[in-house]
Amino acid sequence: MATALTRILLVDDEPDIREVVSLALETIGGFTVEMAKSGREALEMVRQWNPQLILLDVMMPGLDGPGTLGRLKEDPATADIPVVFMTAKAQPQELARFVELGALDVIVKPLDPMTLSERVRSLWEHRND
Amino acid sequence: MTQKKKKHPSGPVYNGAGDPGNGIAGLRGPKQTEEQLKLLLKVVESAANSLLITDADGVIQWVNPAFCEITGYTTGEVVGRKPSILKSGKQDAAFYRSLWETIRSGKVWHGEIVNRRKDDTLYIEEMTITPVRDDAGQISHYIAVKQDITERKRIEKIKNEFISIVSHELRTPLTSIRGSLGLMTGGVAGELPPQAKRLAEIALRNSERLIRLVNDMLDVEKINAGKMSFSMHPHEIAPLVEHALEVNRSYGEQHGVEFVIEDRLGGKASVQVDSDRFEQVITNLLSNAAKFSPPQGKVTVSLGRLNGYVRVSIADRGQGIPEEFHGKIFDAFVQVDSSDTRGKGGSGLGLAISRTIVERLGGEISFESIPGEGSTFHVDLPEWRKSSLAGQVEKDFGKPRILICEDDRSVAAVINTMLKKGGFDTDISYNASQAKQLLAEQRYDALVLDLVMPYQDGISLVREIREDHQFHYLPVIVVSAKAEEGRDILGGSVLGVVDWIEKPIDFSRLIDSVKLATYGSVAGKVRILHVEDDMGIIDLTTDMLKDIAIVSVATTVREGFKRLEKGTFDLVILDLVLADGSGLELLPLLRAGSGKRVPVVIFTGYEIAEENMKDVAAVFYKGHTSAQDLVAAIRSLIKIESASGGEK
Repeated sequence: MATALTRILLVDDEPDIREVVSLALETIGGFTVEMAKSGREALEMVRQWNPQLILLDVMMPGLDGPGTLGRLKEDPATADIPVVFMTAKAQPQELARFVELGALDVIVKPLDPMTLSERVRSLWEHRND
Repeated sequence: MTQKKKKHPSGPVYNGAGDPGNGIAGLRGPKQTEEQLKLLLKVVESAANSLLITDADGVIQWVNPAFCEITGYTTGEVVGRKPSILKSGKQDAAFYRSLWETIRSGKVWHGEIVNRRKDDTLYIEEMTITPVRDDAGQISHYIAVKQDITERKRIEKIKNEFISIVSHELRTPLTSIRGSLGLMTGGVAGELPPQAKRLAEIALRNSERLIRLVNDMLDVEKINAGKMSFSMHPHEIAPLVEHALEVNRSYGEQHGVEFVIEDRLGGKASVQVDSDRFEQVITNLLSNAAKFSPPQGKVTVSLGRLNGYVRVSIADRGQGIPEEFHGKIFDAFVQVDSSDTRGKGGSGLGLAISRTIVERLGGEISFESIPGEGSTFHVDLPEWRKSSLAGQVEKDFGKPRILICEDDRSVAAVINTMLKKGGFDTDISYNASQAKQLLAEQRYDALVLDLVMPYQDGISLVREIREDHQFHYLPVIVVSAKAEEGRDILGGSVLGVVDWIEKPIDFSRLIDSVKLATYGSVAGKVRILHVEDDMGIIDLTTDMLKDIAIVSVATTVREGFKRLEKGTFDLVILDLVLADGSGLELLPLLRAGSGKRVPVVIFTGYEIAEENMKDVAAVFYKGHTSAQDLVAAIRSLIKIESASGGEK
């Protein structure tokens, strides 16, 4: 419980968003960030790098966010890694559905890069509440 | 059929008296009748809407040219056949059953229907079917007026999809733009020269404005598609307003405006709202007030009470709203001064969205404005009272409590008064979401429900609450102008609707139905309490006893106590092993008092000790006795009891 959050995997198919979000997490939050541009790449990265938390875009070509989360939950080795969705879809029912799928929380885009790190850290600290 | 069937009548069908109904202007007197007929025939034949006349059996007698054009059939191909040749398979049998029952009962049916053309393609029609009666008052014909709305539907769908896609496609690049600018102005990429910083701030502010616009557009689309959802909970109002003020303070500062709060509540007050949506409304009103305030102005947010409502008022000292805009200020895309808009920013959607949200929260939004002095917007929300908290209600075992769910406030008020006079405690909800919230907080003995309500109709509400075991047996009394249609859709007793009462409401019938539902003392039925946690058994017994008894259900000992304290029963069926104890714990309560001995039947999977058997009428063991046998035994017990009932 006392472990601090340092390693975050960021998954988004938009290169610009990857760059902005990773810059915010690294510079403001002081996290180490690795990036994947698809669900498949994310699954590989998770095995190689073992992140503590995954920021996962919902809408991606191929294996999308919910699909990726499903794969992570199927494998006991990755089932417990907290996943936070990022999405431009803001329908409350959809957000609730993502949480039902097992996501820790959902961050709605456009996100505020200045407060993102604080939010992610708080989610990490309260992940077992 | 007394009416002669004409294969192809030469004109429209009248009401049997030769009276074509409303006269046509300029044509008067019996000699003009033929002229009138000709003119009417021209009207119907040249109408763009398709028209169809059937006899009382639904056999097509006549169609107009528009019908042929839309369906692809010729007159000769359809006359003498039934409109079912247009069936698309997109509506189920219940839909047609309901339609036919409506019109056969002499009522007008109106709705949308998907039909199939001769060339097999589908189209959507908006249709009104009106029954026509002959001299004897018998239905002789049906007239259908139909409008092809396929194209309108298609455009609506495309429009909504377009807005949804565009909004999403805008939000994705906006994430990068706003994110980059946020990091730049935040100094993350190093300190910027003052002018560059100022430019980046302008760009950031405008990207945020664009985000608000996109969000507003998405909200409007959600509202139009009926998809805006609300998560209603009781909240103390002051902290909600304070939070909204805090969040918007910097926006006010951008306009050189200060937000000041004035709390005139004189204590705590709560409202039942979706807190995010409520904050959205206050944010919108604050940003409008800031935009239209003079520099160094002050915006006052005051909290108070008014006629059972909590009032949040947001007052600016701006130019006020010109009178010509007073009637349409809450309409979408209305800007008080479009030349001013570019200076103020905004989509013109904020107030329209705010009004929809406030109404969905069960409240009202209004404004006052004095030219040159400023405007004040009021948000009035029904005060949520703690007395409706379940914990407090447990003490109150007095009158049965009835939940009214009716969107028309004046009708709700009348039902409320009548039920109170009838000796019931009541609560009112104005929509399905408020009803669900109250049901979750408070125990009700019956629900009086309107069917036609905005956002979620009564039928869907009944279906939804029946899915929760807690409300499986909550008696529902439907009061609606569409009670009959509803009964067809729900299929009668399946969902435990006690009575279907048409509007205008027959109040003596309403009171009787509510009494039947809550006391079981009407119509000679006995009242049974069934304490059991196996829903399968409850379903069976309730169903098999429904013609002779009103069965109340308790799934725990605690619930059993509450039921017994609240109502009187003619018989009690007890299961012994329940989640919170043994059904036998209820026996002392049944034996207390000097009234009639209530027969107790035990239905259990466990052996029962000899000493516990003396107070019970019968013991049946699960596994040895079927629910059917149990019911048969209960039926005979009731007969015995009622035969000796005179002695009590």
